[in-house]
Amino acid sequence: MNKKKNPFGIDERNKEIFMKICTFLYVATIYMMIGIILYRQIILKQHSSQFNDIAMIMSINVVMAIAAVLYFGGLSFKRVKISVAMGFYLLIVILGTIVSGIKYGFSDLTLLFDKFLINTAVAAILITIWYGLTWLGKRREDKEMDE
Amino acid sequence: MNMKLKLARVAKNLSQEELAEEIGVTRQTIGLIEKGKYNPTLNLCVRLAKALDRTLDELFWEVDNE
Repeated sequence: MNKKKNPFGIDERNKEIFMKICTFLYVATIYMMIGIILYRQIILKQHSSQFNDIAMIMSINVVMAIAAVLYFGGLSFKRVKISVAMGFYLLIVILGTIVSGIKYGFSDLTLLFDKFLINTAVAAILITIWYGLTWLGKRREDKEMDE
Repeated sequence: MNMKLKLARVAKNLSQEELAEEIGVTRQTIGLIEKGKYNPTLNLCVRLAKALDRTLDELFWEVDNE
């Protein structure tokens, strides 16, 4: 009988529990960081430059998490549709513009338009990367099935 | 509760510890499978079946009237 026990004595059940705890704590950490940002912004009235580092870490983390889920098949798609990607693109641009409006005010339309342009560019980059990773991940899965 | 697994293990004169050692898992995992509180992967089911000289059906298949 092939013994598959690893040096740490961890089996599949231990790994499953470990992964569940990590996932829970990851999501909890993200929520706590959102809470910290809101607390600093609303209660402490801190300027956004004082918590840009937290926001940056959070953003990179969430973008990477979505990318990993799409590439490794955390979400399954029959086909990778451009129309769906365009829908998500519009959603990100609209949400981004609304958040910018709330953050910087809706009175200065020039500033809002600048933020809108930044949102369109960032959303385009994100959607292109996510779309590409989804396509690559699907191709990888198809290859694995054919082997 | 998975009595079939427990009976097969006892019939082979193995303790939970010995079976766990044989297939490379912890004793707790064997105990929880026997209690029906952990669903093993197919990979582990096959290792269990091989270690106990049984088929997967004999160890895990549930008939409605059971």
